[in-house]
Amino acid sequence: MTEYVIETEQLSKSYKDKAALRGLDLRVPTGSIFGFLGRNGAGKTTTIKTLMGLLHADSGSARVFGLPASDANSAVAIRRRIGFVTEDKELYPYMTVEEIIRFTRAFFPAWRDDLERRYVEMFDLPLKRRITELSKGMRSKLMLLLAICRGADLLILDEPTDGLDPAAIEDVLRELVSIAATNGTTMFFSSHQLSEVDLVADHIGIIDRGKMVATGSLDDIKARYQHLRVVLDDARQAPVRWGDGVESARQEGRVVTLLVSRNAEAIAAQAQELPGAVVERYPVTLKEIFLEHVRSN
Amino acid sequence: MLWYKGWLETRYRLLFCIGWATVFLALVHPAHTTPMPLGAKGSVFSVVMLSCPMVVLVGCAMLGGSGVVTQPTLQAAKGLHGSTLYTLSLPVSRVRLLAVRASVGWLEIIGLVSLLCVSLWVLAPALRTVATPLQVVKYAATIIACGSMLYGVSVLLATFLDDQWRTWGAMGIGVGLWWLCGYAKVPEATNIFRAMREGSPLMAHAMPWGAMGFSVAMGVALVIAAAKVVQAREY
Amino acid sequence: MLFRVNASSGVPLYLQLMEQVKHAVETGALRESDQLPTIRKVAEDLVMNPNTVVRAYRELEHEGVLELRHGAGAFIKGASESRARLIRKAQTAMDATIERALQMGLSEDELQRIFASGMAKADERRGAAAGTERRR
Repeated sequence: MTEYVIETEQLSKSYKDKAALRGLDLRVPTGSIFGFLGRNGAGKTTTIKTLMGLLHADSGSARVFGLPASDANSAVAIRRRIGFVTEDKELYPYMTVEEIIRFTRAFFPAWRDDLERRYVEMFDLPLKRRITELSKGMRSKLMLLLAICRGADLLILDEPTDGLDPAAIEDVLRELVSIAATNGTTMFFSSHQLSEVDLVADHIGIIDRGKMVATGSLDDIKARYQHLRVVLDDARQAPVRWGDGVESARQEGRVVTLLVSRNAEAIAAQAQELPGAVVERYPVTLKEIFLEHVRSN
Repeated sequence: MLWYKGWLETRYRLLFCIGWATVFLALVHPAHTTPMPLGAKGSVFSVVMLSCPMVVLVGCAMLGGSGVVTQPTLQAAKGLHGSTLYTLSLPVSRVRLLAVRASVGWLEIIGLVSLLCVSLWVLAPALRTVATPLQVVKYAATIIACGSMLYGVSVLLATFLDDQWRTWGAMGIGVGLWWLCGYAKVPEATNIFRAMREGSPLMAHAMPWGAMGFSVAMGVALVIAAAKVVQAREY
Repeated sequence: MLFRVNASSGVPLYLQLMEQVKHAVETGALRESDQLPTIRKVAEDLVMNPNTVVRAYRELEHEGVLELRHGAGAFIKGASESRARLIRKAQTAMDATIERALQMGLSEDELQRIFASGMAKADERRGAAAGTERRR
């Protein structure tokens, strides 16, 4: 089993006039739940399509299960072990729910009948109804069923909870967590729901304008990032330059708020040196880390 | 299951083609009582000569497919995706997707033409007086062979157009070829439409091997081109 | 479900979970030799990453609060039970003192300040006894 189930190196891809990926380095550890975060248009879907073999990258490499994603034969071998949920959740309108389940099942010998029964009931999927007549939320749930029941080693989910109501989102996340806990399936999913990613992911990657701007274990990232609030005796004593690791510094009167991405100790010491300074530390949420990275570039 | 999917995609269209063919069969009916000289207008022959190529043309346009691009998206603004992404995420090579879907359509066309010829034989006693069963079989084979090229066009278009655009596109090209064969100076060996009418076994009592060969070769070439397109294309 | 975590509080989830377990032991919700819910159950109930639960359980094992028996699960250790008993005893003693102080007419803030300075003095005494200096 390879250490990284997904690995890209300097992946680049341009469309006509727009550069969608500009040297993307992505590493997804096997068995992790990896949250792939980024604004709309940052390159999330392009990355996913390249991994699935739907697009050919201009330069750089992408490997899934250690196999090159660009080679047609290994791409088929890769897809045998992957469950995929697309961004627009579109399926064959002329098939019924039952038919598409039967159709998909034929390609995967390791199909989980038990999970199929479970999800048909849990998601309340109408077996005889045609897919054109399903709402987007229903289609999302159906796609999840089709992805999970394959018994895949890796699930690639592009906005899996998009279009679902909060109760359904809860159900879906619980199932994903359960599968990760039971089978050790790796999950690579993109999402805009940062609070969910915070709970469920153990690794994250933030992509902005085609590049990876922050990646790693979520615990590490949150440990490194800190808010430092420095209360000074005199507003004019605030240093013009802070040490290495300060992502942003905002000052309001005598209070300076720093967002630090590393070397928190050193920065806190630097702040402590200032006359009469009172330094307090606060933890940083994933949302704050995300916004900091996608705005400042 | 890919065969099943192909069937689900095309069954209603096949039904439509059969319905279209029925229209021509209805025209044959009044013509059967009047024995007329070969080739005379209004004779059973002329009806047959008109209907079969037309049915094949419509059939090819409607039943061709690449197995990859099918439905127009529910949100057309996003571009040509729809269920294509789902299909391409399955552990099947693109060439196989194309091969199965193209085969499904082709088998349906063979079935359609055979059905049409058998029906003509049954419904038009006048036909039975001037032609032998073997000639009708040869005729069916001619139609099928000459239709290959039209089918190839349809499959190639299907690799980058969705169903609606592809159908109209293939029809348009088919009609264009018909016109070309009828009014322009086209060498006998490539005139597929002539081969389906005056040059056919029913009229000329000889197989138009030249045109048949040309059509089949073109058909194969177009399908191979379609396979290349499907492999290289980005979705 | 015994435990609750808050993703937006900023406090690492595994720490929150550890606190929850310790709190459960203190209040008697979990007793010596009780089996904790499986990692999978906790992850499912709280909809959180299973590795986070694993980490919390491991740290708790490190601290001696529970022991992980291979193949069987996680069980509360005896030593923590006596610790919890101690804590409950101290709580009872404190409750009496607090009640008396409030009856004397002291406000909550004053009471908190008294406690803080009392702790500081105790620190000082222990620091002086050990011969070390502590910078305020």
